[in-house]
Amino acid sequence: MKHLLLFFNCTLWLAITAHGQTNTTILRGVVTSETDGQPLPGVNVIIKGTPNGVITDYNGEYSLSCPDQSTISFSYIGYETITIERNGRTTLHIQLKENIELLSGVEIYSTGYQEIPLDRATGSFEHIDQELIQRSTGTDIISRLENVTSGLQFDKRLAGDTYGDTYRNLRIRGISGIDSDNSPLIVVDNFPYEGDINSINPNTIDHITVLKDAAAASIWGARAANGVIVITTKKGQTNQPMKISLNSNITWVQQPDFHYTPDFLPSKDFIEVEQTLFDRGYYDSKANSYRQYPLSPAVELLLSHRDGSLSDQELDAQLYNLSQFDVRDQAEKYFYRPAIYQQYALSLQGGTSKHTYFIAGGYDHNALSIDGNNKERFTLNVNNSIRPIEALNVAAAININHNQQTSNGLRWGNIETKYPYNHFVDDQGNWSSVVNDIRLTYAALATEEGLLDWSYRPMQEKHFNDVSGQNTEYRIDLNTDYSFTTELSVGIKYQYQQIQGTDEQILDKDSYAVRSRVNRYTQADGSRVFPYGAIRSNEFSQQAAQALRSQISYNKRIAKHRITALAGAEARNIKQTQQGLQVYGYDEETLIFSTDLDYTTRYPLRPAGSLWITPPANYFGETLDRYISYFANTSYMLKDTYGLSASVRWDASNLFGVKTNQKGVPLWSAGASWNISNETFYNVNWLPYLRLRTTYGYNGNINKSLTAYPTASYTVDNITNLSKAILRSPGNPQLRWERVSMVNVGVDFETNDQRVAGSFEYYDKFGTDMIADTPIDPTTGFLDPYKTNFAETRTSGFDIQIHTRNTINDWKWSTDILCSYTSNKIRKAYPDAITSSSLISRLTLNTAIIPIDGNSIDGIYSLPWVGLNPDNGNPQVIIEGQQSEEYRDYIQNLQLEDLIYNGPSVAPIFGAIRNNLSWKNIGISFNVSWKSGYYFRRSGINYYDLFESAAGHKEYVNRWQNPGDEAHTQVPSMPEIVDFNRDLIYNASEILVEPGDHIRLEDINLSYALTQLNTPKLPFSELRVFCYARNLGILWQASKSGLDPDYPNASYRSPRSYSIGLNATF
Amino acid sequence: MKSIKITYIILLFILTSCAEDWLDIKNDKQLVVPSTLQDLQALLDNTEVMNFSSTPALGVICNTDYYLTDQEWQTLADPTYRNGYIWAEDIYQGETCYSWNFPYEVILYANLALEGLNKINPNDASQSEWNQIKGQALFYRSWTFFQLAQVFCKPYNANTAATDLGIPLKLHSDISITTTRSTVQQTYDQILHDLQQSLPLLPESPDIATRPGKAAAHALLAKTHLQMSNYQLALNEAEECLKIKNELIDYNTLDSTANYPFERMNSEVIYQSTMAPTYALLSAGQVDSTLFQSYQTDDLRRVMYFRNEENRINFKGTYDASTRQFSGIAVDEVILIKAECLARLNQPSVAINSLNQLLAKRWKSNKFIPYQTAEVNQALNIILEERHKSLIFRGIRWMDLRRLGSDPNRAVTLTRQLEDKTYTLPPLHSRYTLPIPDEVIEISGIQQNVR
Repeated sequence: MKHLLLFFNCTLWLAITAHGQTNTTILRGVVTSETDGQPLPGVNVIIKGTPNGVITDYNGEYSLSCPDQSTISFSYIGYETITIERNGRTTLHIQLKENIELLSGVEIYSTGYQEIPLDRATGSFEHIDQELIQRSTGTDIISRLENVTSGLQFDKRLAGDTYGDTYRNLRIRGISGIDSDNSPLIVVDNFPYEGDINSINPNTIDHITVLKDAAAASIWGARAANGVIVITTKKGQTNQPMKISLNSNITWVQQPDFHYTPDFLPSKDFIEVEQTLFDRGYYDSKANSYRQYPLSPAVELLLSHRDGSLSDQELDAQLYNLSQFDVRDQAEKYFYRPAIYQQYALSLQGGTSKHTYFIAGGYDHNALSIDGNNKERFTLNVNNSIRPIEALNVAAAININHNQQTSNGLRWGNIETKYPYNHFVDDQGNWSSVVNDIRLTYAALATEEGLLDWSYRPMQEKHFNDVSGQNTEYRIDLNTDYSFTTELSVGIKYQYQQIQGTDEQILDKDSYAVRSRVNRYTQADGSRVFPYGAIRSNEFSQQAAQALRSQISYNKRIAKHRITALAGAEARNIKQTQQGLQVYGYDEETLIFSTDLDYTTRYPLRPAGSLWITPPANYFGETLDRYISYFANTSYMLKDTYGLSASVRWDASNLFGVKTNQKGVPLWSAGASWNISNETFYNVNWLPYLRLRTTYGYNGNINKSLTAYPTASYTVDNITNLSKAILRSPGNPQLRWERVSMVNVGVDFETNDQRVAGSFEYYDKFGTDMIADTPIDPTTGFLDPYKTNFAETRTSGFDIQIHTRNTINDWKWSTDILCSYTSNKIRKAYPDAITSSSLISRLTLNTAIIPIDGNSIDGIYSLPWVGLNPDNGNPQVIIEGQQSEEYRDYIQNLQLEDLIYNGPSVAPIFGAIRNNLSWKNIGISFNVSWKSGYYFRRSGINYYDLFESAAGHKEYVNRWQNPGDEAHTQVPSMPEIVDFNRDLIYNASEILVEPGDHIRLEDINLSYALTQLNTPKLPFSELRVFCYARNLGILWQASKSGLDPDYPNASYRSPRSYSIGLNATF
Repeated sequence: MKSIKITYIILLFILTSCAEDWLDIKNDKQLVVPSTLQDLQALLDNTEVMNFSSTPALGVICNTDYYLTDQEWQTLADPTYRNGYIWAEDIYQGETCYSWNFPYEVILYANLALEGLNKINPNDASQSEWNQIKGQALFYRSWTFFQLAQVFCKPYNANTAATDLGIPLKLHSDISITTTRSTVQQTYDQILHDLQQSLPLLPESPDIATRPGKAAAHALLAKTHLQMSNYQLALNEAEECLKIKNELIDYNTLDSTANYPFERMNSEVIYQSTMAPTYALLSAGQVDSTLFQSYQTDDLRRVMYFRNEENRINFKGTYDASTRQFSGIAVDEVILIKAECLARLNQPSVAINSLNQLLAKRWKSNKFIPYQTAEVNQALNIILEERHKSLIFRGIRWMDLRRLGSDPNRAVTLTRQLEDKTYTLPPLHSRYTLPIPDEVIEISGIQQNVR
């Protein structure tokens, strides 16, 4: 590290000493567009009569070393060229006039290391500008990229109760990893972002560049195999008067509707099932057990009736009463509400020739759909840059995000909503109790026996459970750029990020969790060994990340030749610590807690058994990640027509246990481009712009869970209280980094008048040394799944983007079409690594991978369906050519070859069409997306779950009941004896796999804009008000299941949301 | 300008060579490459691997001390239970075989410790710790080899041991070494050799019963010699063990109504170990009623060993106070070995005397009428019956059935009734040797046992 610092000092010193050697004066300025005053990046600034010149940077700024008396020309595609005398001036700000006759729309791509104008890029980039970012609303930035970014996919297969309805995994151009993280690298202001990306305020984002191919991403090296999303925050601009903007919007999100999920059986039918099972004696052993297993209220009624304490009429009346409740309505009414998100942001920006500033503050308040869950976010961003001398620019930025949340609400899918007739408030408005983990009849006796009240009232629990969290992030950026000459400059960037988080849970002493534990541990003599006091748990986490980068850039134009090059080194250090603290018997008033509990004595429990008191969960953790990288990147252009690019990067990290010579991995890329339309022989008048480009290169991926040496982790043995070591990995001396090679071929084109512009790109990725499960002989003693660099994958596809201008008279109308195809394939894997038992569990899981050569990594597999037995409604299987009902034999002898491959579970074809219309001050934009070529598995009735855990399914009513039913139903009959394998035959069957193809109306944005240009009296320079509606529904879908193919396993459809907002600029 | 660029490039290269020590820092503080004595002891102190669920359960599964009704048998999920119950040819049907996997995990840990020790040169201060770790690792490995040999090899027979297939003797941790089978003789030689080596290294009594001491090593030597019919050697070792530890629990001091009357690592336990999971099987089934009835009313084992509730009899006498079955070494077993060896060595009275001392602690106070016989065969029969009744569900009965199979007077044929079919397992039948898991055969290509 010492050496690294020395190195950075040296580059700075070199930069300063070199300054004295220059003998030309420097001309600086900003080039803006006359139309909108926006800075123009990529403008050619040339000393007339010489081949020397520079181009403007992202802020439209340039600095050019030239004689005091010279003529400078400013030229830019789509604008008229301006030629002007310098006359000894040191600054020269230029406004360029748009030239409708010429081409326009040159974009600048930020790679996080440099800015590249589109016409010189060989790789695959995607630029998302502010307008597009601000088109949608939402607290987080990433969700605003959905359906507006070519090649970017949101994999939502896990969205649902467990992970939340907004859970998604990002994919750029599909995936190539089998067992490793496939999500793209996210970069914020030049460095990989180490925090929670959702804490970034979208209002502070200036633009986003998505790096899709090897050449674009190779500058990010070992973490770039999955693509890179580069986010750049707003900065002040030179020579800009102060601009104040205010953004505010309010979003209303529909309340969840649990009538969506098919995994529900209404009370009446469920009671019918319970009655049948009761008559079979199904509940007898539980009811007779001294362990007091919980039984449902209906079963308790049936038991009372059997024991004679309830008459026939009373039973019927009470069961009828129960059947009138619907837990879905109850949950919607008492647990949920429409969510309301409020967002406010105020920013101030401006600059002189020597100083720029940007200051922004934001506040978000989200009242989430679960009543009792709220989130707040405060953000503050200050960004200043000064230019003390012409050649030196120093910028400093401070970003502070503070998030806090409370999660006291109750949600669907837990014990409260287990039975369909559970209710939380009775007819008189009192809070009712529901069955928890003990029998109601036993719990009812608690107070008589001197125990605490043992009943569980969900509405009361809301008040007794206090869950909150907060985290604060500080990010400090320091950038210095020094130009030796107009061609050569040196930059040093430093970033410090600190995130501190605290999560807290206080279970009140009267919460069920505490009462239940106190009661269970109350001894026969009435003494309480578990303290009757609150349980407080805290988790503290701290993360400190430092990154330092030194970079030297060279940019030279000599006659027909233009060369840019950069090289540099980077070091990053990320330290994370965690600490968990838990105490029993906590008193909120005095902050004291129990310290004298005996965790070694085995106490008799109520109602039965004996156990120690579980010791509180206290722990410490500390991890340290270190990375060092060296990189170089160069491009050469001849006559603005022929381009070449190359890059190389070497990465190393402190990957634990990896042999030193394998820590680092060199990665490279090369590319070429050809502006055919610049050729003299090119004379296609209707297509004035045509460009070809291609790249090839290698990117890497890390799987930090694997090590080369045997590694173990320490913990305390809970039986002996001695330190023990757990073997985490037997070591794998052959461990390597995953490598993905990628070829990309693209065509960019634009027709006359920019009526149609777009690009077509084809790519092919080969993953080698991919980490995958490998069979291991258990005689080695290593029993966990064993992973090696064994597999190979191939991912290929294309991205099409078309932008059309369809303007008719006063109507401005444009259309953006995005269409992508991506398919992935396993080329080499070990299917043997899957044992038959894990095959069974993988069959019905949504995202489990069954690696079979030639099929997709995302493949869905199913069992063949033979139909129901007409005599008894049992599903049939084929064993040795014969119809059979020997399910267990069938399942246990199941081979991979017996499975049906349905296709991928993530759409290989996806896209969106966005139409933007405006007339005078009114604009409307709507986005329609589609996905096709994929499948999802819908749930079916599972009798085991129905009997054992009351998990119903609406299919129950359509089940086979009488011979002849098999003609119109495939739902198996209710079995006499529950059989897990019988359920599996149906639930994993091909008939439950549905096509996912659909077209969806994503959103509509309606806006009204007033500017001083058309309304001179306006106190604002611009005022825009808008309405925005999102998640508007499916327009067409192939599946007739009625399920949303993106959320087939969620308990409610992703809700619609409506926003209104305003943006004002002063 | 050129010189600057060159300097820059040179600096890059210098940095490359210096970066490595900065990267040598550990990524996760909780992770270690086991290399110090403390690390190696911590590996061996991982009781979840080394002691609990660490020995084969197949001996209990295939034994007739319990039974299942047709329906109970049908509903068992694990094919090992179902097939083991009827001594089927294929036991695992492709499912995981814990009786193989868990023991070999113990062997991996022991080998890692032994290899780690080879890389450490102990000084005077650390020599005794180094010795103890080596002694422990050798014991854990021998103990596990012994347990595996009782399930996956033919019973020891001095005449054929040199050619009978033994277990794979994994002596190195390297997972790339292909598995091969030894012979039964090599297996027993390895066990005896390692134990002899461990004896001088082990402490007299360990701090805790999950670690072995000299008593445990002597007891395991006695168990091994008993399997090999070396009765004199077995007697010597049993006596050496009892010199160090001979405390017996008086069952009158226990609470028979407790869920589990015996504490884990109670005063009788010499070495703590439990077998691979059997709870789902033993809780579904019931204890054989003839066996249960053979315990007399005043025999406290009747109430301490068995839960007799809701018309079901289940075993609760595990020396682990949990759903896991104790398979370690306790003083009662060593006394029974001593008694059996004495009887076989023509000292029936002394033998019966030893047994009586044990049983006096197992019966209600003053109710036990001591056995009296001076006849070798009768003494042996009494001792073997009490051995069966004292050590049930510890996996020991299976080992006894195997070795007694070659004794025409004491060999028994096991029978099972299931779904109107009768299954039998005659003495010395090849199905007393369980098959090696399918996946091991597939990956390593070693020879499968003949069923």
